[in-house]
Amino acid sequence: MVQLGSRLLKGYRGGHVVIRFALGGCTNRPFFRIVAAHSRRARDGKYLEQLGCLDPLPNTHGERVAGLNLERLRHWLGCGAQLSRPAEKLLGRPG
Amino acid sequence: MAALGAWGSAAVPARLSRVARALWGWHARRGLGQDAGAADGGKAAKPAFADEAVQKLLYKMTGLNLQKVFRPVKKELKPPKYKLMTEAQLEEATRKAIEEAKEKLIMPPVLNEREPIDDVLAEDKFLEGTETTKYVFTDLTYSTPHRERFIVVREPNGVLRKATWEERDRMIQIFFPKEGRRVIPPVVFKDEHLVTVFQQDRHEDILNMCIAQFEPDSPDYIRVHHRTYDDIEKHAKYDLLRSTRHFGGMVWYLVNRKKTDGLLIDMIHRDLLDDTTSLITLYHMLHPECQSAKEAKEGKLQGVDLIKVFVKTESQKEGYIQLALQAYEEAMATSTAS
Repeated sequence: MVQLGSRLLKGYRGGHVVIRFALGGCTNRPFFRIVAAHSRRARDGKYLEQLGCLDPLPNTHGERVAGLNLERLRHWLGCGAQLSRPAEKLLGRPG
Repeated sequence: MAALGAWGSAAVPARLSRVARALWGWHARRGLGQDAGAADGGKAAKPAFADEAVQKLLYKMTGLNLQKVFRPVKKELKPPKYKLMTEAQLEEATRKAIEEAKEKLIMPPVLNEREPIDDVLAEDKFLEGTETTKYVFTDLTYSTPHRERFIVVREPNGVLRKATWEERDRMIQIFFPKEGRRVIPPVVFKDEHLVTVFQQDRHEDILNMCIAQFEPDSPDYIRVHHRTYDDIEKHAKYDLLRSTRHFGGMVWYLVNRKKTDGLLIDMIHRDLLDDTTSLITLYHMLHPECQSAKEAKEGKLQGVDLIKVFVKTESQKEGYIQLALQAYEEAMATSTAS
């Protein structure tokens, strides 16, 4: 079932909403955006909403910085979105 | 009568500051907080920084030098604009200028140092050794105030704890950048570099930078402010801060530590008798158990007598203040005689 009747120009057969990482950044410098998108879309393509970001490389203080928009995350999880493996691991860390 | 008024380059008489002080009189002013957070500086027993009476006194002492408040900030050069106004229009324009100046002179809050956060939320031993670095998670919900945001850190040994204040400030600046703030505080706020700044007489600039960079209750903010005030008091450069919004904070600091002598002498030299009396009133409000406070209450002294009593009982530099008072009285006598 295509969820939410979102105004996608591409019509799909099947597919569901997932929360996953979209890769961006430059050569040897990855940067992930935590994104709610249709499962049939390209990894970096059009998404429904950006819910946060993750910088996998540690900064000068030795931390990996991640931001999560908890309110919108709850909304999408309430709508029945699924999580990808790495997204599950990331969300499992802060508990 | 038409009068030429140029905005920025002065036809405003210097007398205006005294007239303005008389005009606004007992206008109540409350020091508003900068960012979030209540401006509640006080302990219950002693009067707090944010009390009405205290704020009134401090504001009166700050003075209103329109020239200095509206001193042109370095922007691109434009030729000054001249407007032709009648007397009434000029008064209207100066009144508006006074209103704006009052806005600029709102004092930043003086708060106690914040307690370090040390709260462990979970300890998961099975996560130990799975990663090599810390993870910092920030809640990016737009509508929560910054004070209540959840910022947690997962250490490599599996401990989930709340982030320290420095980490919080950094993360909030990364995701919700505020103008004038850097993610990592500039090096100029270290002690050895502050000395250089003070030698260049740029106390006001450094204090403005400090307000932009730090939260009012962070230890860095308080440390920088205290250093600045100490340096000003050591070299008697009170006039640098006189018509700025930092004057109130400086007076509060000095009165709390009873180092008011230099300021008194400076005020008497500049013939600011009202300011001296308000300073001493503030002192008595804060230290009601001292000798001069009791005498003042019994005798209900005013003006020069109050200063004399204060000088006899409280001050260390008695000689200097007596000299300054004598000089002032002689000047008054000659001016009234002639």
